[in-house]
Amino acid sequence: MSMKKHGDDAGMPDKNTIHIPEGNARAVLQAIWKAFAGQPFDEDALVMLKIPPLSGAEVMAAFIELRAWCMIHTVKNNWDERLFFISEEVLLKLQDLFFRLPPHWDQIDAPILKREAGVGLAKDLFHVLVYMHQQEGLTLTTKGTVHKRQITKLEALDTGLRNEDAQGLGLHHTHAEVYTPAVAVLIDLTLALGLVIQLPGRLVLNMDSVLEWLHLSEDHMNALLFQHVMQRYGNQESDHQHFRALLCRCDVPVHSWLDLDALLREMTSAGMVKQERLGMVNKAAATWVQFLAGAGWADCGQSGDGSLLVRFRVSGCCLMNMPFQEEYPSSLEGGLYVQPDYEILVPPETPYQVLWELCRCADYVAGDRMMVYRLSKTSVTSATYAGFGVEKILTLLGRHAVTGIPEHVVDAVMLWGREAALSAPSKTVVKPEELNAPSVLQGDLQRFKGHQRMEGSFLPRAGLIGGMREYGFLELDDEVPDGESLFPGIQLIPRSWTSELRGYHASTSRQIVETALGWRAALEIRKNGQNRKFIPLTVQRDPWIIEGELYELEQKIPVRVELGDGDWQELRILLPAMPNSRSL
Amino acid sequence: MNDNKPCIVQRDRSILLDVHHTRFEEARGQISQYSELVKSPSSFHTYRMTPLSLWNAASAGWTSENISSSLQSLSRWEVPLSLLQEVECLVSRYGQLRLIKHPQEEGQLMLVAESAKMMEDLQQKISLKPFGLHFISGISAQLPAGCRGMLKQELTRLGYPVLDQAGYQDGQYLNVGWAGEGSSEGTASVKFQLRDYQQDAVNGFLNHGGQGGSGVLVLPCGAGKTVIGMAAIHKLQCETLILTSNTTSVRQWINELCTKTSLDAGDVGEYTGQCKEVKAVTVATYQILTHRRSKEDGPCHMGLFNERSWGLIIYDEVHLLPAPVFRATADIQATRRLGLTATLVREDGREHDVFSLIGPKCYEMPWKSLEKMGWIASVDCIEMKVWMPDAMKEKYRLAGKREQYRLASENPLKLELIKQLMQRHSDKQVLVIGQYVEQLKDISEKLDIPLIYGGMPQKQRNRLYDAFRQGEISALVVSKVANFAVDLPDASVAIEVSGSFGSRQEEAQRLGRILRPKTGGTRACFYALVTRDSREEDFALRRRLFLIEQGYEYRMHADVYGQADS
Repeated sequence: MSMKKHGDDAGMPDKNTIHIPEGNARAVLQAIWKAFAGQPFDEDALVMLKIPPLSGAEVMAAFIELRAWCMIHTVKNNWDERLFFISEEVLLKLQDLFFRLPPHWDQIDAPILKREAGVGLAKDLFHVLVYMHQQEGLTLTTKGTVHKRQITKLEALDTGLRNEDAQGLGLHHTHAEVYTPAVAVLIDLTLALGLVIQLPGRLVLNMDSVLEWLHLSEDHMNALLFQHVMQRYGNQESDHQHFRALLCRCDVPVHSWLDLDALLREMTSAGMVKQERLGMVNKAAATWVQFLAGAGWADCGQSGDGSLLVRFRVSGCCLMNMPFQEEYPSSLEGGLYVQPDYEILVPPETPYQVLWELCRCADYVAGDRMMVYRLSKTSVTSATYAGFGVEKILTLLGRHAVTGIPEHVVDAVMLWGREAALSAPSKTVVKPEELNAPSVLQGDLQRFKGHQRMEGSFLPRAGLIGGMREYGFLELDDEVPDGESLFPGIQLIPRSWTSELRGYHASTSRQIVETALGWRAALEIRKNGQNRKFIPLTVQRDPWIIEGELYELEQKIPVRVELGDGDWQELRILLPAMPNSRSL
Repeated sequence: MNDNKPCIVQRDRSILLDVHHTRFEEARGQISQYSELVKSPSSFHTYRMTPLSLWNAASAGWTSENISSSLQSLSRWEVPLSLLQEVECLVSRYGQLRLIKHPQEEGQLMLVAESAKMMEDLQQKISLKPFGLHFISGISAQLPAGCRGMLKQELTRLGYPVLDQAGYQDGQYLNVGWAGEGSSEGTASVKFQLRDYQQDAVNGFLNHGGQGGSGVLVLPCGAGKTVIGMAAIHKLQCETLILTSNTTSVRQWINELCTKTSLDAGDVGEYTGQCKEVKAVTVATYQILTHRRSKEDGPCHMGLFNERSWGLIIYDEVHLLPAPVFRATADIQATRRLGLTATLVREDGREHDVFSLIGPKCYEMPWKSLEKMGWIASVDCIEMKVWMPDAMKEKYRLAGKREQYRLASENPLKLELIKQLMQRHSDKQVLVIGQYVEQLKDISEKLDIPLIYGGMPQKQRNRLYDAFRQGEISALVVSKVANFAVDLPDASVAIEVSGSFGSRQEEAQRLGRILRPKTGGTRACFYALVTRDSREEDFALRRRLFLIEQGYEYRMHADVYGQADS
């Protein structure tokens, strides 16, 4: 992907483009990316990072620059404690910059399929929504969990996602013993997408949202689902995050088997995974890939020598970057086949709105490429009781049936409808949404951008499953500190301390060194015509000794030394250049 | 997606074939080699790959690569990988297991595997334990011969085909030829010839997936199942016991055997309520086999199974097989068993019992395919609704469910409609078929049409059937005694006035009465008279299902007969 360069307007960072820094900022960014991935970190954690040959001040200065360029975002909590993180959008682009995919990882001999991709989370979610619609929601117990009977019914739905696919994700939620993993994920996603809301004692469909959702193409549904999944599931430690994010690179091939063991080895070489953690990350990788398979996005397999393999059915990059569907189709295309044996065959290109209407009057039989429904006395009776009578059923089928409706099927539907009308309860239950069903829906897609990375308050996500929500209410902090704040008292010291390489009296030298130590800045020292960089780390007195890291100029590997007064003839404090600061 | 391709291959091994696709015939030709036709309604036919269908293909020389390649060439979307793996696994097992006679021990068989791995896998299967398998070596096991059939069935269920090379009891040799075979007279009545599909059916029975010798053939009414049965006897040249549903059918079999084969009356015996002849070929009813002298006694004619050294037992209308006959059949696994039926569907869902005890389905000919070939008549199926008379409504409303059904079935307004239909088809031979004898008697009397029902002596029934066949009478009213196996070739109109609730099989069998090809290619007509807004109408929906799955479509007559509601 092409990356936009920051413009010349240095005063106002352009938030719509991604600026790729050079120099110290790039080195700091890479170190942060490697260590934390998308995880939030505080200043203490940042300080702990070793980024040779940079001094702490250089790191912090570069960090300020990164914040100014919106490569790093900041939030603060109720106690004004700040957390920093690389946004997801930037994170994905940094993959391309800082990591090279292993060569030949797509050259696999004799792969063995272990888990084929499921029918897709979009379909799975659809089944859950239909069930909830038929049940008028899910009943909650006094503990706030879905009633066991309904969980059992949800488990019995013909979903592609199975418990073993979601088992190893390490989902954290309060009632893990109540919900099976697959059901937990599906309910969580309905909540996260705003399709379901919680009322006292019930989870109910938010019909406006559901109807908008149904207007999306399956590609867009999958994109939103994938983005939610990437946000919500999986181990949050940085090496695990790196792995998942790498699979979303735009140069990851689709429809080819890929060797993930090779990828993990490359990640280890690049320092993204520590050697001692490789086994654990490998295991998590297998779990993740199985989940992707259960969700319908990939197949997972094994090579002859036991390497973990994945084959994507759809590009993670496309799923992460799909633009939102701004317009709804003006007419519903899509044909059904109404068979004489009352079965209705539904091709995969059938819009979900049509399928939703069909579910109101036909029973689900089987699902795969072609989904199969069946008209029955029970289904037509239930539809009639719910206000979706024979006329509507026949209109729906008539509109979409590719080869028409067989005569005797019409006759049967009319018969069942007549019987249902005779036996209907005294008040036909009309679901509330019936009153509000618009013919053309204009939804607010911003609702689906609720997971958006940076707009507004960083609210805890709705849903069963926790994650970053443990951090509490978080507010964006746009304020980037001035560079001078890194060097308190800088106005009070002689300018020569920072600008000239010269000799000083021993006591003054010690002051200069200790000032640099306090600022975590580096020093340039010269002895016998040889210049070196020295980063002071600790000072002892009596005798006065300064311990730190000594770099030959342009070298990145330091030597740990103890220096005294006689170890330099000239010195100065090295201050990093600061953007938006007056010259220091 | 590739719209150019006619099939949708699903993970559950089903294949949906688009009937309207230009490559329909090509696809059907291929997929029928390795999958079974499940149903054939108008838009999409459903096939399913089963272990048996795959092994059958393997026995005909198909490899898993051929099958995969065929699927991929026909599939509109990518064929599920897991399915291709399953196909490869199942096909690879063909030929890996054999059942042979124990070389030393009488009454024992040997199960031999091509690889120790396969035998190890079988040792882990708990469901095989009851069959007394005694593992002798890494690749062989011994078992009692009496467990042969059940072991084969269980291995099939587990996904392991076994080539049954243990041989069957040949039975007493019987020289059976076709009538006119070897005749030097060169007359027109010379040498009976099987139709192609009949030959395929026999071959399917004799060599199905390597398990030949026991199985079920499913062909439409009028396809000549009797001829196929005789062809099996001809092939095997052995004494044969034939079981069928009623005495009329017994006599039809005997007639066919004596006219189409070299057998004569001295070779063929009738074993029914009226007659107890056990001969080289004996034809009996299921009913006589299950007959008890009193409630406390067991069936007294079950010994017929061991009366002679039968080389073959034929079960005509095998879907009607009663439970006691099932049990007796289980004990004679060493004898070849052939099941024949047009409608392998039971309302109690026990079709698979037939497979367990007779053998797997070896051949199936779809009804519409046979119609297309011209071997059975094309039929218009028409449902005609009749109003319930006002005078009946109150009684109906207050009646229980079974009674409601009966009242609706016996709707007196149907009589007028029958009269109109008979006038419309006055030049045709018509059968009026019903469930309730009182209703049928009333129709018979009022329309002056002869009646055949269960209470009538067999001789009298046969006289009327013969008169109908000869054209001396053009219409008959018949009860359910005529549901099965009664051959009335020129009947071309059937008017069904009532039926046995939702029996799909009965509906199909009744349609079968008019399926003989008609002169001039005229179409037959099947009318189902149903009282509107009644339980009969509900059950009528179910009755049609089997025929609909075979590709028949019911036209709904626009008018409702009788007086409309006031």
